[in-house]
Amino acid sequence: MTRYFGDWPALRQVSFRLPAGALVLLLGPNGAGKSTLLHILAGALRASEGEVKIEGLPIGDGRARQRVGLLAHRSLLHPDLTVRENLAHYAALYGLQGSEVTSGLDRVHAAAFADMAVAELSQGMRQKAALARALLHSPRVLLLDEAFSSLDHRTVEELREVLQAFRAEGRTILASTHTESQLSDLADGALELDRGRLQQRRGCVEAVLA
Amino acid sequence: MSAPISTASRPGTAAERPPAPKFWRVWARIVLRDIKLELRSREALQAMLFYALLIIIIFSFAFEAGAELTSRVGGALLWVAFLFAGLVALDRVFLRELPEASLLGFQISPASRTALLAGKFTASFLLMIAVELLLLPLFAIFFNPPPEARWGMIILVLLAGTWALAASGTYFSALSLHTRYRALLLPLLLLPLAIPAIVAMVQATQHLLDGQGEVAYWLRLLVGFDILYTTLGLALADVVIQTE
Repeated sequence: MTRYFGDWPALRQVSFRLPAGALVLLLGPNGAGKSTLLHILAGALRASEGEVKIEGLPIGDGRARQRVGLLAHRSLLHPDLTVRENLAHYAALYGLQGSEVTSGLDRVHAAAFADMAVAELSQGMRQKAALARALLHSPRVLLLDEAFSSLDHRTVEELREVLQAFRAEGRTILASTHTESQLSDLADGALELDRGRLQQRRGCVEAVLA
Repeated sequence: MSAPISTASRPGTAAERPPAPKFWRVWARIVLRDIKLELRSREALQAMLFYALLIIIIFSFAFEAGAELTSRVGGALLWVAFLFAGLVALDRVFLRELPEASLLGFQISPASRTALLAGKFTASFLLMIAVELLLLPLFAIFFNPPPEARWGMIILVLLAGTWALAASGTYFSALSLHTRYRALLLPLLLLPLAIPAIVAMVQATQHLLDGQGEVAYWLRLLVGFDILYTTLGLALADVVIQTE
């Protein structure tokens, strides 16, 4: 898969396959193309060449997007709405019942601040709310885009527990970081990007045959 | 073409997957959410009222407003005020999604992008109409329109005219969102395209204020533009709802 922004190739012929239940790190310096790759995998950007498949379905298909969750730098929540209102909004976008919101909040221990506006939350609480949003539709694949940067140790530990439970259900995690991250000890493999090129595949990450 | 990227995780069963989100449920959720956000912040509402009221008051002092003047140029004055107020609302349609990238949350969801654009358009239309209905009595007080004015039909023209502005404006608001000169680009893109509709709404309103002339022709033209702008905007929703 290749992605151009104008004439500039942000990603060049990147190709890989992730096994179920794996936690894979996406490594590389700033500007390596990690966020671009994750945005393409999430369906927010289109690849200029090549394609992404989630469980055999192209990412342009709504059923594939239903299988993917993204936890990004920003929460993707509206700051003027409460956490509960934001999750109810996302429940509608994913075709879920309103009752799923409560279980989504419980999953990340966010019930205590569910009725607070996102703008009033600390960074750690906001990221927990964002994780509740990303997991609300029980995705098969979770993409983390520098999700643990600027979080305190305690919040990172809590989020790690949630992610370990998520992986134990046979679900896949791809986590980008520009350094060895707080998830390094859990990782089954790694992908290393540099200036848009895939430099290295480690561990469980498989090549895809053309 | 390079080989496909895939994540070969265990295939999810049909029972695990929720049904695809319904268009009307997503549309209704977007409309209610945007109205709730506006009622909480009242940012656009206050700015719209302020701009439009300012224009009405300035014109009323500048032109020594009376029935004779209103029957000649009242339609144009009214739509100048509503157009400026509308631009404030349209500018904010997608802008409020930027701080925490909530638009990205929509883009990665399986929900229809057409439903998002339709929901945003409907919320803008309702907001603009609410402001216009508040300002219409003030316009009548300041400009003292002739007794022949047909107010019921004027409200119908307001609905059709505002629909045309909201439909085309919401589209261009999305298109200009990630550009550097967004605030400048929106009126530059919208107004030339909306000129035929603006002419129709001004002419129809003018004829209804002085109680003379052919209204049906302008109204039909306006409805035609409504259909055209709505269809084109929604058909191109996938193109326009994009990331930076």
